[in-house]
Amino acid sequence: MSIFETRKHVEAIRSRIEELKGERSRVMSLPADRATIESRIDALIAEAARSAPVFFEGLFGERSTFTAQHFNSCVAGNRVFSADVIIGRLGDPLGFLAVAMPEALKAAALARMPTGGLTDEQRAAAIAKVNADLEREEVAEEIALREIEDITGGHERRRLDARGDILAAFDADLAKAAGGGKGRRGFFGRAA
Amino acid sequence: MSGARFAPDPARVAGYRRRADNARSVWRGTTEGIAELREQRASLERTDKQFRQLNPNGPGLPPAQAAQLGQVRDDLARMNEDEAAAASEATYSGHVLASVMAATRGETV
Repeated sequence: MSIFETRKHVEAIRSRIEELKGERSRVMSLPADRATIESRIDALIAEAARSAPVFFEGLFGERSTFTAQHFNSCVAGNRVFSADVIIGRLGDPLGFLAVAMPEALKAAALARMPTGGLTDEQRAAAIAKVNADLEREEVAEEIALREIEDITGGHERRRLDARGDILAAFDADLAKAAGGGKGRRGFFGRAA
Repeated sequence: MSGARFAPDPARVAGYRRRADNARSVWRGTTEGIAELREQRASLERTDKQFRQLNPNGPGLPPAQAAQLGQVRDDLARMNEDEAAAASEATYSGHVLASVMAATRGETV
């Protein structure tokens, strides 16, 4: 392979590296799967119900001071948040909904959630595959750059986001990772 | 970010360090050269001003010094270009060295 061809080869590798990095970002930003989202909603509703129980304080005294009419007038007057004496901690709307209508709240929350997401295991597996592909390309790039440097005696610019351990790796380790085991010439023999 | 997988080759690490040191040294040389040329230019321009004050209708600096001022200005323009290139190289090689050094600590960046 001539230097010109090797440089073209490096450019092609760098394009694939960019694509793979884009793919990794895409996988990382995919939403969670439906079951995970559902369990998160369940946990949120349970927590909201625990932290803001409906507590009609006016009902347990010697004489009840609580009436539905009083309550409704508070709500109608938009004074729910200041009506603690009458309706306890009902001032938390999410807590109220979590207690009064958990299923409806869950259904409403789920209705607008994205589909096609990944479980943690699926995401980890997809990222591991992209990382393995990425490493293979980065190793091939470094081998090609060293090959050019051997011929020209100069320095080939590395990508600023290249992995430091690959830049500093022994030739033999790179060749082994590339599946060659024979050093750089062996790799290019196959790549050509 | 993940851990470094490949063991560092000390010769390669030294090569990246040498390259970064050289680039910094070249950059420093150009900035010092620019400072020196600026001083020369300022001195010659002061002298030129004095000549013009003494003889408002005269040409200013004598021919030899006028040529020297022209040369200094040309050198300064060239040196400014060199300095920009040296700064770029120093930044690049410093960045690559940082990645390599992080790898020697078992990290990748």
